[in-house]
Amino acid sequence: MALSYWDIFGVWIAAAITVWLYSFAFKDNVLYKFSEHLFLGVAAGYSFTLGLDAISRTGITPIVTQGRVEYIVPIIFGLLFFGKYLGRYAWIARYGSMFVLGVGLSIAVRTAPEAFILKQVAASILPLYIPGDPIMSITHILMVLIIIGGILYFVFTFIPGGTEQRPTTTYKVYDILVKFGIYGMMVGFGALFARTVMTRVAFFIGRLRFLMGPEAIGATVVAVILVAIAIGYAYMQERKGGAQAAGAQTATSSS
Amino acid sequence: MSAAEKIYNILSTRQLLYVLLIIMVLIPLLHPFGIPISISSRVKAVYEYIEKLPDHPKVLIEIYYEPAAATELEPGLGAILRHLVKKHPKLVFVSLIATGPIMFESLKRYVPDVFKQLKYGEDYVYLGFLTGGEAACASLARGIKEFVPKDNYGNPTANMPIFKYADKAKDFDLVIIVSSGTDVFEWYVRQWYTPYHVPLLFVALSVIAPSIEPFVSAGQAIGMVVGQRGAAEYELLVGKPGSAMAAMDAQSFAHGLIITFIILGNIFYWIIRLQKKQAPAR
Repeated sequence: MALSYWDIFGVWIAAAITVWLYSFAFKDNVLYKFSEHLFLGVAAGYSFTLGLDAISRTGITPIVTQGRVEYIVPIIFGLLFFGKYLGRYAWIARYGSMFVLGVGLSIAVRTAPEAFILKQVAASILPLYIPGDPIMSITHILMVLIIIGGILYFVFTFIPGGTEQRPTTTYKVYDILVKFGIYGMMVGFGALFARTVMTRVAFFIGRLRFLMGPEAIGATVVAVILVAIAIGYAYMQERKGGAQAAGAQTATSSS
Repeated sequence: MSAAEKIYNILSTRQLLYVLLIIMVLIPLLHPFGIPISISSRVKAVYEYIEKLPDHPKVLIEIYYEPAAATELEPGLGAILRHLVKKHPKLVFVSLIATGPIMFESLKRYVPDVFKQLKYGEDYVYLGFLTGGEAACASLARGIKEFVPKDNYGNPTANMPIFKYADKAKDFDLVIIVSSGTDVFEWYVRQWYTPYHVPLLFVALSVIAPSIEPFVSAGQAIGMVVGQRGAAEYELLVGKPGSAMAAMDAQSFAHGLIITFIILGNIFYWIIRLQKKQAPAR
């Protein structure tokens, strides 16, 4: 499918902005700042428009076409948020927050205990010995020990008797369990970091493939050249600034 | 400064890592090596679950990601859609994030073969971006037609044939949540799984996987397809290798580079530490 001139223009803008935003990895420069501000402005405008459209479809339309007058109530509470721009009447915005918090909390809380506590506790009650499957048995034992250890690590008000110097048996058991918890969490953080790397690399691969695409490659080359100039200029300014600062310091010390 | 310290300082230069990363990603993209990958039991379980779905399954698909995350999430969703379309599904797409409409159009461009087989309003519909977060998610479960009188394109939903079969949570056979964040998975667990027991399937970024793993382990979701790797495995299962499969070489090369840097960094860190310990106190 042939792209229109506007599509190609869009691809070129996207390619240039991608290169300019990645240029921050090498050095802060004017093109990076331009792209960052442009993105913020566009994102704010886009979200605002889409938000209005969604309110029109799910809020205004039912009032007009189905006569659902009760929808006026949340719309009024929503409008109260703009009260924060009314100076001494800014307090009326709190009623909007109150409504959103109340509704949000009640909707979330009604199922949270079952979804986040009961189900999770039930899932951690595991058979510690599975005949013929030693790996799974070890996995289950480790999981139970790490769960108990992890929870114990975050219990701050109750520590069994004894100290590191004079440990009692209860303290030793407590200490071992807590260590399981700590090492389990460390492994978890390690996995999280590794997966963070994986995600970032995947994002990078995606952008690189886009930049190397037939429609974007021309813009990529131009954007890279412009970035090189911008970074070079930033280095020159830095050196000039450094030289001026050194000069000023010399003048101060000699006087 | 010792030689070890000099090397350590060079290795710590972020520009060096970035340049090497660009090279390591570019090489396999220009000359793919086709490093083989295995299929994990997790992805296979998801494939088998979808395989066992009845004909004409009713599926709600939450598109909750931004353009940056499309590389990781779109291939996974694309492969699942290619699998689902064989069963002549009824698909209701929705977004609780503002970037959803852009990503839905991008998805249509990514899997045109899928959408060519489906008729709008009859086989699939896109409800667009809905504000309200979890409250909107809960309202969707109670009845889509009533909550969203007009779709993304301004068409009235009341007369759409698809909603004869797929309107309330209990009508759906599966909900696929494709998200670059964690919150939306929790919303669907609380508002769709817990009260209505609708099976959930997660398509997530690699970095999100540890946070949503407990839901899968507890049986609150039927499984998850994670990142480009999960997508590549699903593409293999569907028999249509796509962009995720093509990115696997680049992923492997980039990970190899980062592992090398971590190992070298640690080696030189310990050498410097030992040297400092052995050096006489000044």
